[in-house]
Amino acid sequence: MKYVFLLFCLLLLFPLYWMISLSFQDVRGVLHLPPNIIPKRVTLINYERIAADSRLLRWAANSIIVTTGALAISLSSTVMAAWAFAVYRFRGRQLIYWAFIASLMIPAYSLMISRFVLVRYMGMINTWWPLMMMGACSPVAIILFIKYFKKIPEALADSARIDGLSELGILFRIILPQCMPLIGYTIITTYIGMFAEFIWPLLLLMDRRKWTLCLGVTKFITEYYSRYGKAGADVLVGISQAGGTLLFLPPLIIFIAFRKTFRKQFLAGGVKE
Amino acid sequence: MKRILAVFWMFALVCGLAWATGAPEAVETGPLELYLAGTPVNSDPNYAFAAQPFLDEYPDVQLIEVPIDVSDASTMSMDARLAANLPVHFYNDYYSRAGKYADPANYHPVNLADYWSAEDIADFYPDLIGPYWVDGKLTCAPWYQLIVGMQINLTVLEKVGYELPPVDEWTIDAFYEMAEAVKAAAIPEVWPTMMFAQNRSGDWHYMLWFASFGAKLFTDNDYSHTTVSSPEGLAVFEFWKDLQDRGLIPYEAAVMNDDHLINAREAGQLAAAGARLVNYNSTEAMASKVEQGLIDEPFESVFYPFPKALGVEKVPLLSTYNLHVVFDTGDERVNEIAARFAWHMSNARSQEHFCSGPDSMAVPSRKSAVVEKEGAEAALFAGGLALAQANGYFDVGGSLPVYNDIRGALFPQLQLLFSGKASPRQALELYEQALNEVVATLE
Amino acid sequence: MTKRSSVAYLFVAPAVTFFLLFTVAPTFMVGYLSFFKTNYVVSRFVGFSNYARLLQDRAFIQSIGNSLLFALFGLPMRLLLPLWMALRAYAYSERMRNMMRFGFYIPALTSPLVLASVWLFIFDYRRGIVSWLIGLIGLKPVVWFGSQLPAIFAMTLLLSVGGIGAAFLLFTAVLQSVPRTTIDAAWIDGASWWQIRWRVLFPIILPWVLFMTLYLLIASFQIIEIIWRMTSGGPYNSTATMLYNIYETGFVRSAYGMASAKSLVMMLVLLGIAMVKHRLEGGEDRFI
Repeated sequence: MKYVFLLFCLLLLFPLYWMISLSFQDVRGVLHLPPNIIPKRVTLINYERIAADSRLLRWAANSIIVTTGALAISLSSTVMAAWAFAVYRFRGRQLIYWAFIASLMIPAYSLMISRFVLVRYMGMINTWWPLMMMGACSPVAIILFIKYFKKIPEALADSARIDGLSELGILFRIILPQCMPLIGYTIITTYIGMFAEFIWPLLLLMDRRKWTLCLGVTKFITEYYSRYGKAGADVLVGISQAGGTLLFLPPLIIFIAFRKTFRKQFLAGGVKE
Repeated sequence: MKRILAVFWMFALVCGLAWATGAPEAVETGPLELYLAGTPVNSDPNYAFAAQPFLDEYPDVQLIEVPIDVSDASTMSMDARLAANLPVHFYNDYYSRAGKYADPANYHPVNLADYWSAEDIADFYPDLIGPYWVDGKLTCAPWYQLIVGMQINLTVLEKVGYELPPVDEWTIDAFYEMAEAVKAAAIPEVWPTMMFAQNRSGDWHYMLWFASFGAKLFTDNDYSHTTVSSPEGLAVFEFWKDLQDRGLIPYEAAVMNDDHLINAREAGQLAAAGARLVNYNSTEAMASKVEQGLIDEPFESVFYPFPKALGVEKVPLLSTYNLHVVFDTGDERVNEIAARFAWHMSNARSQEHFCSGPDSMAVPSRKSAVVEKEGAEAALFAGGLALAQANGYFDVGGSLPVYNDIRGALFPQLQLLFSGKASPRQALELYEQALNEVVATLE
Repeated sequence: MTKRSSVAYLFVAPAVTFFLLFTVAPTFMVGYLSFFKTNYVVSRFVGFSNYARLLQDRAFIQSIGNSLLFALFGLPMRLLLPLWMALRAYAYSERMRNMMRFGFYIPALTSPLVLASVWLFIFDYRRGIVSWLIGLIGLKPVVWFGSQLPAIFAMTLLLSVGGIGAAFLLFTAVLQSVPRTTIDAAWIDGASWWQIRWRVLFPIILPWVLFMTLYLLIASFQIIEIIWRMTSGGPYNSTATMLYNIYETGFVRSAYGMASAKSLVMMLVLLGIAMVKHRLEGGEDRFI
């Protein structure tokens, strides 16, 4: 059975491989039938086109800054809020929780323009702040953390309290290390989600130098089409795959960097009798 | 740790304060900023050329480009800005998108007649600018046009051994003959023509088939209802279905879109297809395509109207163009400057520059703009222009603000037709219904 | 669980502030707009007429069914499969698990929008690999995006590329938090791996599975980006999800009042589904 899984892995990885393979081929290779599983001719021309005409590095740096800022804000506020829901009782707890659930059901697109109007009246157009604050109240993250926290035995918190730790201290010193797998998961999904965001940065950022990576690459591809006319539209296939590959790299790096947090296991020790 | 909390509280406070007091910017002191949509003055030298005299006149004005995204046929970025009261002063875009905003019933376009002189406005071709006079106000200005007709690949015809008749003998029967010849020759990847139904794009191809058969979407400028449901209209749908049945277009037409047609056409793989009039035979363009590996050898094309059915005298062409819209900001001074900018973008000097580019076959919308072509280009251009003047233009309701929905009314019916779920008659009826629903929204 | 409550307020303050600003306030604005006919520049009050008219909007009603179809197809591919694999993988070595996590999640790192163009190519009637493979077996190739069910199947497959990885990652993360003492105790008592999997691990992970099911259902109504690229809602609105319909109403036709009304209806429909799920669970998680 293990080998079936490995085979399945490979199958799943195939579209990815296909995308990368197409990105290294020129037009003839792309359109060839039967399809070239292994490219007959490898060329860098798609990447050259993208790199020559755009501010790739700048955009990548922007994306990293924005996402890291977003994570900092959102992780701290999410973890604190989830802990409060899981452990304390306070007025409005039920209501706020259901409000979080309900907010999953209003699609972001419907709220898009209303949010834009609000951001405009706060004077934050053309800045990165709204991008960073958007993820701060992700209901899915809060709910996941609540579930995780509830599984943690109260004894752990109680013993820390007896030791004299403040509430905040308990959260950050004792509880947080226990949920590293989930934190790792949240970091990865947030990075990926934010790197793939296109519409919101498009509305918000007017200055090309402030653009994020996804916005920049996607707009480059659509502008390439209109700039170089309809002639050579098939070239677009190669370029879009190259763009896709470029967009895929930063999340990949993040994933590789953070997968170790999954190795931390729940430690059964540390509970005083 | 308490510090973090304090930071958050302060952040929230600051946000709240910003929200409460952050009213939109008040009076514009200092340099005026003009926001332009669809006008890349900073990155495209042609636009920079057109804008230069304006900058000389108004050195204090800053031109700021607003990025809008139209890749999904929506105008979300424009709407978001308008909703948030963020200024957009000037908008230049394809008429199906910009036309929506030139509608005084739903938006606030400036009355250009207030700022442009009457003689200047008379310089525009009356047919082009006519529809944009609404209630005595000029809501927008048309830019140079591109004539749309049928591009016929002579090289392919040569390979299959078919001789193209002269223009007045270019009939549907001749078209069938040509198509069958191409099919019989069975050159891989080469098709007689194509159809597509995945989305509304590509109106420059499918709309003209209505013209071929003498069907009319609208008659005599009456846009209260459509007149497409007629024997001629039925003939069009039956023709499309017939093309698919006979294998003259790819079987999967229902899921193809105009990009497929464009790719094939540009790669010299289509015998005939709708196309804008450009310099098809430009040696530089051909050389560049060969170099990119798109084609193996150059091919030669000619510009014809769409073929005419029995009983049709002349098949009209199609005209596509951009529109220039200036938005009313409520500030007279700003409106005046924006209108002045719009004038510089659409005056004869600018149009001559855009239309004289290499390989450009655009026709200016102003009488005073004169475009000189040389050599083989001149013949192609003159021929196309003559055709347009002789046959006229097909009315697709392009000047209506709801044109985007008009062209969006056809493709769902085509999907049913090409996947065999509706007969040509049923598809036609559904199309008539959809079109009437669209024009019913006009006030 | 009764602890001092004042600290709790401080804890939830930041998240709630952002929530109010970016979700609650815009939602109220949307609700307000739903009583108007507006394109954000010119507005007219129309009362409940938007709501009345949307009940007659064939495409909108159809989109509910389409969304449910997406959910139906998505359940086995995006949820049950990774669940089963995560349960089996518990018995494997850490190295094996890491390899699987790696292998499954890497594809999830690409955005579906980017994969969409590859997908169109793979499922192309004439030039696609799938057609070629089908031809090898001797069957007739299918125009995948020309009919509803094949199209939804192909699109769900696309979403699974990412979805499997994400679900697998989550499930293994949860399973790993099961204290080893419990497993060891069962092991000592003589339980087989099969029993451990289904008697011990499965009940632990069940709440998460149910949560993910609900999430999948809700997400199915909101699939939109790949529909832009692949079918434009066709053929004849049969692959348009509810959000796609709302998007078209608002952003393509600029009928924002109607789009707002539809959005609120969508929220109510989804809330209804969540309520139903809650009842079915016996309201056990009355609070959370």
